[in-house]
Amino acid sequence: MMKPEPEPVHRVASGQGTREREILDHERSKGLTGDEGGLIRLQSLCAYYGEQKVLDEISLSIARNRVTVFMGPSGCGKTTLLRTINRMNDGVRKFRVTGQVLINGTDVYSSEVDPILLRTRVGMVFQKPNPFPISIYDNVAFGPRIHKLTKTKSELDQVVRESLEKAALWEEVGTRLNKSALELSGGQQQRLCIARALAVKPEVILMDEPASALDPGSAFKVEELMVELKENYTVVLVTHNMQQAARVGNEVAFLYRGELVEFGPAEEVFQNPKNALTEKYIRGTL
Amino acid sequence: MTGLTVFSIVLVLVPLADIIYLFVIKGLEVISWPALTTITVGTGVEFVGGGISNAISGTVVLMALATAITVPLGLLGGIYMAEFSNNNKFSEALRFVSDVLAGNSSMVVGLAGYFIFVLYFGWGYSALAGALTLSILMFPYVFRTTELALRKVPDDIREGARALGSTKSTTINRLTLRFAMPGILTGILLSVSIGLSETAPLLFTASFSNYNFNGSFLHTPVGFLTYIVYVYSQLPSNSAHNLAYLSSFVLITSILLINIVARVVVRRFSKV
Ligand SMILES: Nc1ncnc2c1ncn2[C@@H]1O[C@H](COP(=O)(O)OP(=O)(O)O)[C@@H](O)[C@H]1O
Ligand SMILES: [Mg+2]
Repeated sequence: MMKPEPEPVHRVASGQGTREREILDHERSKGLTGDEGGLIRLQSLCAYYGEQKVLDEISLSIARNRVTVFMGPSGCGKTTLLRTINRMNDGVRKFRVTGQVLINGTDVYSSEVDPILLRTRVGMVFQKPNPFPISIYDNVAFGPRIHKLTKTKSELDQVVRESLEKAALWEEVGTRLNKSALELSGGQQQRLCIARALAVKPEVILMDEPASALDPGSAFKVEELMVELKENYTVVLVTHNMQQAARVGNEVAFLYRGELVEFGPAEEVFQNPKNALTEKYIRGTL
Repeated sequence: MTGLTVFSIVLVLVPLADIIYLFVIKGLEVISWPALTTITVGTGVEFVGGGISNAISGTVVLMALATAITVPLGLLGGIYMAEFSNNNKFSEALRFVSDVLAGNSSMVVGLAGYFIFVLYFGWGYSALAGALTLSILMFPYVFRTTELALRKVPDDIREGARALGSTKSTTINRLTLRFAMPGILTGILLSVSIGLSETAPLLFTASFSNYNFNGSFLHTPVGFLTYIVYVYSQLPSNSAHNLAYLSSFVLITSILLINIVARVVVRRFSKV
């Protein structure tokens, strides 16, 4: 691990350091960069697969109860960034991180953090729905069971029900909880995966292109869900779908070739991008 | 092309059906309660008769012991290979040894068992020597099918569980093994069928006995069904042939039964 630098060094893809500074100032004015404002803070975060550097000095702050979106072209490092937050890339061959990922001020890569516990606080939803091939009930109950979060069957029933309700799935599956999760449609499966993540009562939910494998209708439902979820959770969304980013994002970050090009409130990033690259990306000419 | 395929299938199936038919017909002719529950009389040099209870009890003991040794080791090995090894040097060595074991003729393994267990360890012809030798032959099947069945479980299930804070061992216990179970059971079954049908390795290590298994695992030869099939079918007397038919019948029916039971269990497991 690298020592945390006193003042994060920011770099921008096009070398426009001042613009980055402006964005940062903007954040400061909204109180987003302090420990108190940001639930998650990335500080000079770099990630490598062997010699290949895929995240380059990312520094930003993710606010509580917001939907923060990371967008950018395929291969720019979005998934890596997300998996760095809940340490899902631990154990990936030759993967290495420098810099810091602070959650509530604690570096998740410090020795006192147990990645198992971290993942119960930071849930994750994958691009391809991956329900376990067991019953709907058992899918949602999996987390509470392995972490012994409930004492009685009725308590567990309650958690399963609440989680399915929060994932807007209860109405559709409440009467057939013992059916196989694989009998559900793709969209339902993805919402089941969301319910499964909610059942361990996380604070943060990381979503990696959760709607990209779904038909438009199902994708829309999942989008709606993201917006609802931010009432109680902090949602970090990765997408390469700009419309989606604009619809659900409160803050939007644009990643390009592992560098943070732009970060700010969604309206500003989309209507008045500060960086030429962002503008090009939004216009679809990148 | 289709004609050729059908011809080949017929070519294989007709003799197979013929053999099974023969054993079933002959087996049903000679089967009787006394034949199943009394021991073999005589050695076959001038006369052999009586029943096959010594061979049945011996086979049960040998197979139970061999399975009890093979299954846990094969399972652990397969789990290690699929879930923990990351294809390191040790796992390559393990696979190599297993492949060598599987590729060897059972005669060679039998001889090795004879030199190691019977002579070097000084156990004599015995149930333990026989069972260990059998388990050397059975191990590769459980080992390999367990690994393959686990590798077939999609990784996104492991990822999903990991993202929920599941440890590797919890994921294996609660999810991965469960989905690999049909494959694993099939492997166990295959290995039991292989063990049941071996003759040569047991000739070298268990010898044969006309007496029922008496509870001692060392220094006491044990009878087994394939011995009767193999040796008594070559004797000139009718009574010897009848014992061989009966033993074949018992072997075929038990392999069939094991397969049916396993199918049912596998189906039960595959259901959600
Ligand atoms: N497990 C891995 N091993 C080596 N390189 C990887 C691995 N995963 C991703 N990469 C590389 O890292 C870069 C960023 O990938 P990723 O984070 O998946 O981007 P995105 O999600 O934005 O498409 C890509 O160049 C990709 O090839
Ligand atoms: Mg990705």
